Amino acid sequence: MAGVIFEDVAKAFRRQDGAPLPVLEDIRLTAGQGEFCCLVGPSGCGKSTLLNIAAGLVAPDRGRIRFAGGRGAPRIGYVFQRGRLLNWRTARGNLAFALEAAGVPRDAWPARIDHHLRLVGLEQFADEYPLALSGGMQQRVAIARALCIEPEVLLMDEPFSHLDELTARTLRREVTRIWRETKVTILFVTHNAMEAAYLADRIHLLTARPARITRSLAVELPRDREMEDPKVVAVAREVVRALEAPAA
Amino acid sequence: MAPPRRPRLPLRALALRAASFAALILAWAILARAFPPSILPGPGRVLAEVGAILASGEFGFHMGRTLVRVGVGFAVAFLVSTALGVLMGSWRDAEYFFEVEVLVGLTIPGLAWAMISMLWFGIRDAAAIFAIVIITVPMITLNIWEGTKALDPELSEMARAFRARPWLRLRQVILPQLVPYLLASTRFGFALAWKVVVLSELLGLSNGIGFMINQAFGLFRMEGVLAWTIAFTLVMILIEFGIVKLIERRATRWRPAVPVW
Repeated sequence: MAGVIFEDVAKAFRRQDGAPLPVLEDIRLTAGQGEFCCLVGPSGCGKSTLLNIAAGLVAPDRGRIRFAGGRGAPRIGYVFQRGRLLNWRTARGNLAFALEAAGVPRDAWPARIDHHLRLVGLEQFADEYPLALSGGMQQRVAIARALCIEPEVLLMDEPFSHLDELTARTLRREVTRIWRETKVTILFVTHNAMEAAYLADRIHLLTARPARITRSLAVELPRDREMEDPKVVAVAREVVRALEAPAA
Repeated sequence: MAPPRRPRLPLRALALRAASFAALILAWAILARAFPPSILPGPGRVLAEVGAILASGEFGFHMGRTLVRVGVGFAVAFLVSTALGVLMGSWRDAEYFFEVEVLVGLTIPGLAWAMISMLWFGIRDAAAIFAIVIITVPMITLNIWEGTKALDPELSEMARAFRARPWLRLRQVILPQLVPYLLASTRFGFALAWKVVVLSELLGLSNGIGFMINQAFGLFRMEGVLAWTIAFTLVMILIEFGIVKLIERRATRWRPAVPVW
């Protein structure tokens, strides 16, 4: 499993009128190998851009990103806010797409697909098309797709923000369970402090655009956490307070 | 959960189409009463003539020649246009460059191309095939190009995040999104190709449907003109319902049926 290290990363985009729009500034962040890292910040602050830089989709203007451990460029799984499934392929087909992209040999596919669909509880729906599935199920397929390539780093961009709370809770439990089994390094972006407190080993707080990391909190609570556990709520409260405080 | 997919070959659709046909024939029969047979023969006489040309094997021969020209011409045009359309949609430079050819190609009248083609290739299949290609390529390219501009950038991003290589992205992300445009292009392109091939055959080839229609016309045999046209149209319809619709159904079975209003 690979750790992810952001070294002084900065990124600006261009507005319509050509003026620069700085999005990230002086990002120094380390996600240890096997760590469950949450990035919390207000909407539009550039958290997604951070993930896209980690995924190699966007090049930083300054600084760089490094991966520790593993060999060479690590395999990366990405779960987006909205599934981004191929609607013309079945659940099985969507996983096959990721496997083909990752260069996994074809004869390994059936086993991997079955295993990961079972992992997210969708083995009965393997041959359904995404538009016949509910939003929660589509996200589960997206999670299975990201995991079936056996990634060393898992990037998740507010994957549950468009789901109802009940479905989100179920999926948070499942992601935690899967993480404990696979020990994959996770970078999880969210604007939900409670979600971060429930999921993370470490929470990094981002300011509004241009985003900087103001604080990093270690969450040293045992696993099998409950959302309503006062200790979890206390962490969430600390996060919210830190986010609301004026920049130091 | 989305509603279930459309049922296959519903009886209702079949009945409505049959009724539509019957209405056309009825309208024709009524109209034919107002004209002499040398101008508008009735359905009875024409359908008898259709039977005759089908039975004699004449139709088979000429239809075969026309089909080959259309088949080859359309296939070439489709491949070239799809490649060109995707290219233009993918690279600004390609778009600026080929825009000129596409627009020029669209405006030159088909008849002009058919004649030029005959001059260049002589009285050969190649003349018809070239005419089909040169006339349909601009239109299909335009269609595909538009489709490429409508591609979902989020899916492209997803494909890149999973490190899918260009060939895989083309096959499984880009082309499936272009299916509606490819289907529309196929129908337009085919329809245009038929018209072009009949034109070419009329102008100078020595066999094919266009040639036979011209021959009947020259002999003032209206039943002949209509009979060949109708028989030919029947084959076109068979291709549309037998092949194109089948492909369409297969390519879109993942879509749930959603009411428009």
